[in-house]
Amino acid sequence: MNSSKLKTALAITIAAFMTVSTAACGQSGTSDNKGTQSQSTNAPIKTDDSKKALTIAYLTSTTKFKDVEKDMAEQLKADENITVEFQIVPDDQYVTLVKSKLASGEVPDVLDYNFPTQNSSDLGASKNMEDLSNEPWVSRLNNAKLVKDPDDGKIYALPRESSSFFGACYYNKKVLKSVGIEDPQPKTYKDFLDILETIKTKGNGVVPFYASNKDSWTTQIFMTLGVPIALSPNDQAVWDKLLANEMKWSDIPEFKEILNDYHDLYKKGYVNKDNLSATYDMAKEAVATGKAAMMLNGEWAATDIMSKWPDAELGAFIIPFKDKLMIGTGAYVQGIFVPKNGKQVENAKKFVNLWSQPKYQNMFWEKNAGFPGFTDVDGGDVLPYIKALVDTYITTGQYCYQINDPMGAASGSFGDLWNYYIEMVAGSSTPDNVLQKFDKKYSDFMKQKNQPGF
Amino acid sequence: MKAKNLLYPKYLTYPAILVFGVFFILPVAAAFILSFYDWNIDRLLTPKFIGFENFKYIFGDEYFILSARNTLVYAIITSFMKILLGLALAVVLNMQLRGRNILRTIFYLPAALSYIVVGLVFSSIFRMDGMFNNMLAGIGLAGLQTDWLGNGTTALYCACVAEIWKWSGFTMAIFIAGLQSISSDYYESARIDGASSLQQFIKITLPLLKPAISVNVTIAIIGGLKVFDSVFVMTGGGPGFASQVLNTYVYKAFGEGTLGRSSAMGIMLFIAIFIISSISNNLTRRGVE
Repeated sequence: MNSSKLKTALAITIAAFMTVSTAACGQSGTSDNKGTQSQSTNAPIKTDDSKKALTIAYLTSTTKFKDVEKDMAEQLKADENITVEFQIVPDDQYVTLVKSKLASGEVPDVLDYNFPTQNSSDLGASKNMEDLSNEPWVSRLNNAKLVKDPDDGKIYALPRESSSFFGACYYNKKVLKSVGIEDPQPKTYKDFLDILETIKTKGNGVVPFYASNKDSWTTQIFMTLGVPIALSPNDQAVWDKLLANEMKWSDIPEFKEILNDYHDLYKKGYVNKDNLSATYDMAKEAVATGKAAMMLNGEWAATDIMSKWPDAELGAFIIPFKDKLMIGTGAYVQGIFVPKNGKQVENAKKFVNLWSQPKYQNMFWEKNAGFPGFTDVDGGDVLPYIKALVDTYITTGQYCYQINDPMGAASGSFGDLWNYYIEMVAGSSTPDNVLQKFDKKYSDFMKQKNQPGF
Repeated sequence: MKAKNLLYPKYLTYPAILVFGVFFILPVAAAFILSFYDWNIDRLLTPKFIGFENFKYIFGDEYFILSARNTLVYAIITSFMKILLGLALAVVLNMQLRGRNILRTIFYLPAALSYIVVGLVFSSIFRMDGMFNNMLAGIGLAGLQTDWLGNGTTALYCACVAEIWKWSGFTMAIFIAGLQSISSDYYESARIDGASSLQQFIKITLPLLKPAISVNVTIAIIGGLKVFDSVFVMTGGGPGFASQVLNTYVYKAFGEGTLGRSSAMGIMLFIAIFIISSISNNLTRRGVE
């Protein structure tokens, strides 16, 4: 082999080696971000060894898990000699993984899941989960009515918060002030459109309404809030008929109207041109930095923005769908379930009770101000405009539950529905097509799920 | 031959057969059987035989057909371009150039990067305010600017570009190995006979490169049909369903819990890869020996 060939062979060998090593690094990186992560607590705090050591396997997902929970677990280890092993699963695999584990009986000691709306559809809670209705923490609940199972009235999980998802337009105050709008609180849908038109004409290129359709869960928010509000107060009757297969989605004129309203935002040029490739993170950055005036999302968007851009000045208002002054909200909260097939059910219940105590819950809410699930827990400094939404609409009963909660049985089919919305705003479909396609998808999905009536 | 067989007894192959059987044959066989079952994540332990229903459904599903078409388009475009660019790079970097070994390494390097990195880089290039649109504006073609990844007609092709960029260096390496095995005597003789460079390339290089072409075409087509990472990272199959390919669609179906259907889709992909790669292998290997 001559010198040149030797060098070539060497270069290719090195490159091949790099392929393997970098691929391994890539896999490792992927695993860190996407794969299941397991984190044990290594408490620097002195542990009380007089108590019996206990290890709790806690299954959760990347979005549900908050960093402060590691601190809470460390404190619990110090106080009670209980080690919490967090198994953190990527969001997009979480539902499938939980269902597989429940079906196979290979369950963790405790697991996180939205409840009570998905108790039956996703978890088969009455069959698979411990009834926690008589646990000592139940008497301290802030909103016991919300967390009771809609079918049997039992409580199957320990709630994190008392309510969640306050769907509103979270806006940049400076941007709106620059076009002469202060404290916007539109009373009609036209008022809302007028605000967008003003920003469009006077905003010097600022995007009036930022949409992040690459993350289709953000696309759906307009409809999942708007349709039930448009149907209110008859929304539940419509959901019941849909669930019983007594009507079709295309039979709901209000749905088509809301789809038309949403489509019009694009036709009128209120939405960013790159909406189809824009992500939720880009939306937050655009609003925080003033490139966009507002985004429609839940309260977590505002919390996220404030933690990354603490100087941002935000406000919030609801969209008065069909001129109704109601907020769309979630009928669910995050909950910790204890699977019946767990290896140490009583120990898991003991852990859940300890976890609910103010000492640990206060640690959580200090870092994530909001609305705790327990009366004796301090929710921290809630952002004033979020508190105003709650005071104005939630506590006064001016709210409506988003589609996804009463229709939780069909939640697995909603991914396609959100993509149909995107096809519509991309111009390749119409509101009628969206509903016709979803009728077909929904019917098939419910048949697959063996739902009665399908 | 017998002596060689004695030196390497058959049982040495058993571990490899076991691993191949457990991690490839068994899953494929299981997927084949389960594709005839109504098997849902909610009824994990009670699959029900339903004959060809899953196949009937997927062939009536417009998005499955779209995914299959996109996969084919992706495989054809990326295979063709990877071969073309790889061959061009190999021919140039087989010449006596200063620093050619460094250049070979540089062109090969993208193959060593993870798809996540490549996907994110190309996503930022094709963003509305990304490098590509800025370049278009810079050369006076601002009118062509668009949201490349958000446009249903261009999103898939953006993923193709990333794939071509990543793997052209790999095909180049195989072509270089092929080129180096061609004796310089042929070229010397052709030059004496007055053949031009183009004639030498067409009459000598290409025919004698057939084994390398065959390997590259097979690898490129199989890689193209199995596409997942680049599309998943760059477009997520969107906007809407516009850039869905078979593997992302199977992944989506699996996520919905329709395990029987996703098995049927996986089997269709397996059969497509088997047939197409066999045909291409036969065509490209003709005359190799």
